Amino acid sequence: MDAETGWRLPGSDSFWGGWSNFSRSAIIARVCLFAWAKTKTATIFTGIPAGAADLFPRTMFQSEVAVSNFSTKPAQVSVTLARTIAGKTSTELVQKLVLAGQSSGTVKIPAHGDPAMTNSLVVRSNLSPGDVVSQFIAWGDIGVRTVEMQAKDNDSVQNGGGHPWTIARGTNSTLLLFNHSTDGPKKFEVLVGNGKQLWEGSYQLAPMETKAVKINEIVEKQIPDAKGTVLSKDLLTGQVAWWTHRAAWGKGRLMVSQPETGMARSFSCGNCSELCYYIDLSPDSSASFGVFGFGTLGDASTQQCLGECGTCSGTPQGPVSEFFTWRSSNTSIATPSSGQHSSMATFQGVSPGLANGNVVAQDSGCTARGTGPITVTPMITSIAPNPIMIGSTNQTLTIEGSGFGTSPTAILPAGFTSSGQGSTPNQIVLTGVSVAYSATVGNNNVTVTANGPPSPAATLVVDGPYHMIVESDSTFTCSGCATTVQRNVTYQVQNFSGANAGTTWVGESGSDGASSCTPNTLPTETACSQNFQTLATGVFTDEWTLNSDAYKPAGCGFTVNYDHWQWCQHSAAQTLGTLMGYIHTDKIEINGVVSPNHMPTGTVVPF
Amino acid sequence: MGARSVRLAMWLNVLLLATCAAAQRPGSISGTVLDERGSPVAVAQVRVDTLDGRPKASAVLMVETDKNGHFIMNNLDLTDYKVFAMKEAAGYPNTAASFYSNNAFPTVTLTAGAPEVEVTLRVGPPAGIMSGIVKDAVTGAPVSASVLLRRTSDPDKWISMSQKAEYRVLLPPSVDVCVEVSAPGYKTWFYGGTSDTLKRSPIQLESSKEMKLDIQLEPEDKPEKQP
Repeated sequence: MDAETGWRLPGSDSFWGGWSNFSRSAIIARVCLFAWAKTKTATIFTGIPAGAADLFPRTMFQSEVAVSNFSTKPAQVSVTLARTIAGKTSTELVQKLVLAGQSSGTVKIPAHGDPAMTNSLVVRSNLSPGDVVSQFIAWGDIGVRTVEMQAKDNDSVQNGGGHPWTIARGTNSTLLLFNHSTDGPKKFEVLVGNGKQLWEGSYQLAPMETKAVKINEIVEKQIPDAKGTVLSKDLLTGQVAWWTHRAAWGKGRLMVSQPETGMARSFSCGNCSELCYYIDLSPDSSASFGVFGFGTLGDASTQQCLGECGTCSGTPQGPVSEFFTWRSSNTSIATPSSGQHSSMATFQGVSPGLANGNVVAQDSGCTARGTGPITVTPMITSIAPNPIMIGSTNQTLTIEGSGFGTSPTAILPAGFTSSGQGSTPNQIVLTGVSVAYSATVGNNNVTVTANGPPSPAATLVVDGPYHMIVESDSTFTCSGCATTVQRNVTYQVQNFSGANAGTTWVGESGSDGASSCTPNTLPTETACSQNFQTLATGVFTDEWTLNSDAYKPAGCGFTVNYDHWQWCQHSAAQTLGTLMGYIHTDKIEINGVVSPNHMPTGTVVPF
Repeated sequence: MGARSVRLAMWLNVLLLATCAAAQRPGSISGTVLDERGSPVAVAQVRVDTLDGRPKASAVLMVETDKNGHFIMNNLDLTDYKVFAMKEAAGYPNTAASFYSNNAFPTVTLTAGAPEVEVTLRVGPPAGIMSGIVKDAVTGAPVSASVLLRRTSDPDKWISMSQKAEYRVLLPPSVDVCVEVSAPGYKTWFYGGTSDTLKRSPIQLESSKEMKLDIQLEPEDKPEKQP
């Protein structure tokens, strides 16, 4: 609730405190409900004005800390000012005092702080938490009258914060960060964005160092982050989040001020930035590999979540590096072989089956977990004979590999039959194997199952008549004709392996358009029923002609819609090549080539 | 058995005969291929084509002779046939082309009374042979080409053949022939070593005479780019 206006701020669990004179020009400090922190060992005030302040150029501030001892015992209290000027940090013991039980005192802060407000206070006492409470107040000589600022407990569990910022209409938004630890530099992560753009900053602060991150400069001077991202210049409002990786390392607050109106607001309610409870695995979120083979899971990535303390959840703020530990849910299926403590782990297959690769990371009471399914399959390394000829009978087929177990099943392509099987964990021997003429000529798949998921498919080539190529192409006036042309194309039927197919039973299945000639006779085709065989070299000649000068007028003819040349012995009459075109008295087109042009020798006729 | 049953039995017999006829045609042509000296020609191709003048879009019926020059072609319809023998490797061209046969070829008639006919096919004398390599005149790269042969005295008798870069064509002996060689992207070459049709000249080769001639094709002029 705003003390001046009675406004309630949306989403806020705090109220707005004002200055004693309720001046419109006063700095307004945002005070959380727990603002009067009960100190355990120390109370922190981050980014205080002490003397001149750049944000209010004409104002000099005199600062004071009020300390109250609510216990009946005397309290030993010390107030320390930590200043960071031109990158150098120094501390100054402002005063030591002893407060009698149930008494208060004030300590004046020297007015030689840094104008950038990179000054922070640490108030320590020797009493138990809640016994000694402190409050910061500063008085401005002009414009800004008084400033109050909430205290933060040194050992607060909160290690981050998220605040709204604006730089509209001359407003400044400055994030003030303070490393109040004494055991070395600490890293502060900062995210500035608006839900569509995100600027990521990382700052290393020395002990007792205060850092001012000016959002105005980031936007207006187009300062890139470590990834080169800059925020667009028209970005005027958004959210800023900050965190350290451990509580008790640092504190922060956002100062939103407008010097022309003498207005300033401090956002300092804290959150917990903790390890999110989940781990993403990308790009390898699952793995499938063979027995004795290897597969990887990862990269495992964790996020830092900003939210309620102790929940290990909230709004993801960005990736954080963690120490991972990978395990297998079933080491009789797969075991981690390397990278057990890195983001990418390698597992090795032990036996066919399903398992999970589980990864865990722990940080400050939060445990993040991820799981990637692992499928371990049998593996086929070779098949012999390969290729195998279609129509062959009583063959022995040997499948080599691993993970076959004691009673594997070999899944053979359609058209294959076998009459016997023997096996070891690394070999399957199939006997009495026949390849029917219904099998598919070309690449076929073979898999093996052994009480679990099937192996990846291995290729078994079935060889046999597959396609036809042009051997020669000639056009001439047919014998007995004066003008009518004839086109003879000699093809060779070849096996899938590329060898000539030998004597092969071929026939054609076609469709012709109506003839424009008189008479309008159409040709007959070489049907499979005619039992036509190629020569022993797989060669045959296909002749296209009207075959007589009797067809009138000159240039008449018909269209060959399609002419499928087929291997007739295959149970489904497998097409070896398809011809299309036309036959006219004076010219003949085959597959786009009009006589007297020729299809080049070696042309593979498309199916 | 009544008259109705007798007619049904006769009709079934007719159907059965028709089915058998479709499964196996009754005609056959057999014989021997002899060269110009009367010697048998082994591994010659014998082709037959019906004389009915019906359009063709089908496989050429073809067999090869054995070492004694014998052949037999079964499963033929009872009709009139043109019969051709060829063995290009020995200089005996495909006489299905009028360019080579000059429309002189043997015929055979198969009838129900004489479904099996034996013939003697004579080939030769061997053709002249023109061979060499077709090259790009600029780069020297081999070029697959088309070769068009035309009788000078009877221009309707011609043949156009696809050839590999290493070409080999047969010329009817002692006949004036115009030779054209073409390939996509090149100017047509005419015998006489020119791409000028007015400067071409015929070639005539004696039987079995082999002439080696490498042919250089000039690339076509590319149209100038418009500004």
